[in-house]
Amino acid sequence: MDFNSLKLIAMALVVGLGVIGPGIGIGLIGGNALNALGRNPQAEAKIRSLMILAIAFAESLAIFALLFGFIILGTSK
Amino acid sequence: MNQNEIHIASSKLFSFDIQFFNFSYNLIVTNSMLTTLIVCLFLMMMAAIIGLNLSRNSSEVPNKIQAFFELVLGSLGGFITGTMQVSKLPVLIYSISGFFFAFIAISSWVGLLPGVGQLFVDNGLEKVHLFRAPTTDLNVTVALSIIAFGLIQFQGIAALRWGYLAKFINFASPLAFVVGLLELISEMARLLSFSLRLFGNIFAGEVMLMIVLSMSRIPNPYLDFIGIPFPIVIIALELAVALIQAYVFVALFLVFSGLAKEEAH
Repeated sequence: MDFNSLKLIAMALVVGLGVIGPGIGIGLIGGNALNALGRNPQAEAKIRSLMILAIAFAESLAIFALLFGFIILGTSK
Repeated sequence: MNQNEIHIASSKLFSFDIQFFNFSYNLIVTNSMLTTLIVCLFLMMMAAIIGLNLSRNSSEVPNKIQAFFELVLGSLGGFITGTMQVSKLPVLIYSISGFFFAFIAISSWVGLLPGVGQLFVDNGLEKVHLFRAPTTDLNVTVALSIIAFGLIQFQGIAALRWGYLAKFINFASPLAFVVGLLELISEMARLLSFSLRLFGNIFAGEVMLMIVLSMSRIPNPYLDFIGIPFPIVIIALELAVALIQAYVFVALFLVFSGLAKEEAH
């Protein structure tokens, strides 16, 4: 395999595998936030802000994967 | 040069030499520095407009501009007292948080303005973008997070004195030493993730916008059809992402400030 095709495969793999975990995490956070909202609708503002904070933590991992993807895309031999 | 090339680093516009006594330095002005300057001027102008529109005495009814900004700043104050769990609003943290929020939101939105991604200039070597959103430059986000973390450490030292240092370097027992070491590492990791999160989110958004915009240039009947509404949706998403990232930056800054003031356990 030549360098360019390896590079493309590497980028696809790093982004594709890297977003699996954060995807599951964000789904769990959102689902549990909705659960909490169903139990206690008065606490909506507090739950929403905490949910966004937690999602930002999970999301930053996906963003790292994306950044590494860009870095791989930008490398040359 | 391919117009859709992805630049992770900002590009040089021009450079000039600074002579300072015997010390000379070649200062490189990049496109993100130029945009940062414009954003700062805009923020100063906004501050001047708000200042000129304040009511002079308490009997006067505040006008719409004052009422709007009182609402925004009041909710920011409520947010700070709620997150840090203090009864009195800390003035320094209040103003710094307001700066972080305004600067991050405005400088991310600048990248969505028409012309920011389309204007090119020649810097002698290649054609480069004239403008670049400040938050898509890693230098700016690292600088912002260093400011935030300097302030967090300052607050910790102000609240706990020497007890703050004992959080990180503790020879009381082997276990305490290892815990302190882990605290130190997690502090570094926070600094890194603070800057990379902001940079990555805004930069990924710009790249996504670029890809979607170039999609509408491919001669294809189906892509032509989706080429117009697609970028609009992405721009709307990016407007929200910029606001959320500004909110997250301020919220994490406040949470870590609260944690720094806590006693070691």
